[in-house]
Amino acid sequence: MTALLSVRGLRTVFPTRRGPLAACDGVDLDIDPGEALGVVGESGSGKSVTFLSVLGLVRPPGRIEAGEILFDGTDLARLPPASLRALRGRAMALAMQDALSALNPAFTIGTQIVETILTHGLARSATEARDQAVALLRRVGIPSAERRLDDYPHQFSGGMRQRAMIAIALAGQPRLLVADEPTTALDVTICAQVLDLIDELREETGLAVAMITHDLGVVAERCARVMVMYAGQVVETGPTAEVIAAPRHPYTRGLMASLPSLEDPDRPLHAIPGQVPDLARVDAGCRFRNRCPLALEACARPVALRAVSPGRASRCLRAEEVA
Amino acid sequence: MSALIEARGLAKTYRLARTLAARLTRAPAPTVRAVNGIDLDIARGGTLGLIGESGCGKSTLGRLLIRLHAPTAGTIRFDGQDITALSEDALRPLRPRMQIVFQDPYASLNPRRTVREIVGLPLALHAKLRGAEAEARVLQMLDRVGLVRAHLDRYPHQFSGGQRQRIGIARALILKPEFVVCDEPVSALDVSVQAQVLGLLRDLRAEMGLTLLFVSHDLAVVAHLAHRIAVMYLGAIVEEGPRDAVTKRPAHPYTRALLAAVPRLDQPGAARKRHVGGELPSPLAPPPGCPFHPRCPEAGPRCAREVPRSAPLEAGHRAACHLLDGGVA
Repeated sequence: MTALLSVRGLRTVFPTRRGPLAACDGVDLDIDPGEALGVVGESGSGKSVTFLSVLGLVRPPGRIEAGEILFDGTDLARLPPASLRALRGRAMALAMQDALSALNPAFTIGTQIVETILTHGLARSATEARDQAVALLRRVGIPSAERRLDDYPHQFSGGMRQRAMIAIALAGQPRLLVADEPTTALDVTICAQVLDLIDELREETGLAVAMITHDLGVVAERCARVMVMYAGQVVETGPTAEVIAAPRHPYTRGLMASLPSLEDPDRPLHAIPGQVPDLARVDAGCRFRNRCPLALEACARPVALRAVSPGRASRCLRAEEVA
Repeated sequence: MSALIEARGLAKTYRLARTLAARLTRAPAPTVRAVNGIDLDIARGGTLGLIGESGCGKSTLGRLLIRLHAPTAGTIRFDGQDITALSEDALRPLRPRMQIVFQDPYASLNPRRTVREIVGLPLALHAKLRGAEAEARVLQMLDRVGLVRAHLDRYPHQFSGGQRQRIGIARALILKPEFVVCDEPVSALDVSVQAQVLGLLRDLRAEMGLTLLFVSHDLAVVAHLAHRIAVMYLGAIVEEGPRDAVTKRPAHPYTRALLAAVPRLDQPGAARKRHVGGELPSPLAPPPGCPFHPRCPEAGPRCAREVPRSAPLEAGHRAACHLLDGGVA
């Protein structure tokens, strides 16, 4: 299968007082239709900026400095803004972490869905758009959708707002949904419901999903493949089950060792010592080496992401020794 | 083991502002029962993990136990002394013995004060300690939480989230309290930093013999630290018991739903589980009977009529569910 989205060498830079800062630097990724890719990383790892770049939502003075973003064969990085705008929402859509600030409080949920439908020319009349909006709200599991269409965002609960935002994201019938921490603001029982919904949509419509999260558990349950990011770079990719069972990068291993487990609550937690490097001051070497128990002198030289087994890659000189 | 904290029938009701229409018709102000008749003991040296979703009243309960808020009904005893109705003046000598660590390390530290001032303030207020002696104590405490002398004159914005939470912990512990409420202390932190702070809390607890109330929505984090776990739903404790009893043999359907909803690392691609449907009801209009019955897969007619009593199960394990107390019919 050819990938729906294929990113190569993406580098997005923001100028700062201390010089340019590459929030994502040399990112490669592929997502197939109907696939869910988990994108894992901590604050500042570049996971959100990578996908904001894909969506063409990086605000100046930030800019994409290098790389190509092939969506269904078209390089988005070279597309004029107007063409990109036409594609965004239709081809790919974003569901954000904070539904309360992503929705406009001054318009009803219905108005916001109908606007999206009409903007993309997916309905001939306002009535038809409204019918589609009702169907969308039903699709995301909002009870008495017809009536709730005229509610304002503040009249919805947190879980319902998140669903409404997914409904808006789906209004343009996109082929790729970027879900940026879609459940972080939600309680566990509600979170599971929203993830179930995204799973169903993916299975039924062949929607490709990029699930950006800091929660490895969510990825383990919902995404067949995972990409781990650290300090602006991809450090490991592979089938989720394999990566979790046998990580091939010391950072992935460190992340897992620092997670408390419900099954074995007394297992000591091994925190990763130290802190993420300042991205405005990184050198060409491995960015994890100051916190890495396996670091060698050679790690100060550039380390490339390399294949370590079929379908798996790691940005570590000693990937085979990570256990 | 004697209980350091004992709460009986503890309740907190907030009155909300009335709308204009309600005022004109002289309708009573709407009330929210944030905490609704809770019985709770925390043994000296023990850690009670308090689990629940947003709005269930877990933070309010924590603040009531150290009398940051005054309860509407019920009693609180601290080390045998009834503190339910104590005035601020009468509470002051007890304040050094009970402290709190807040969730948000960005909002809970005064941005205009240096670390020296933030961590030293409790010393100045309660121990009347200033100058060199205070500085020595502050340095000693900073060292315990993994900060150094060079940090003394910096401001909160110069620190990362994890370091700020260390400052918050230093402030709470500098008076060597006996009881500390930790209100979601690691929820705002990245996992690798979260593990550092959890490790620190574990070490300090052992070293200082602390009694903790650890409030969190994250079951795995709570299980890692707590000896006992209480599960809250809409202002009430629905289940409470030893950690392993609650996590391995959950008795209340809500506890089971919470446990089933936690994403697990070790079940990649697990078949989708049946999740509990529906949403948390509004605390403004709680359902009659058992607060969980509208979402409960096992509810029967009795659940809508009658509030379940807390029933003892095995040693020190209790749950409030009709299933355990005569059935739901």
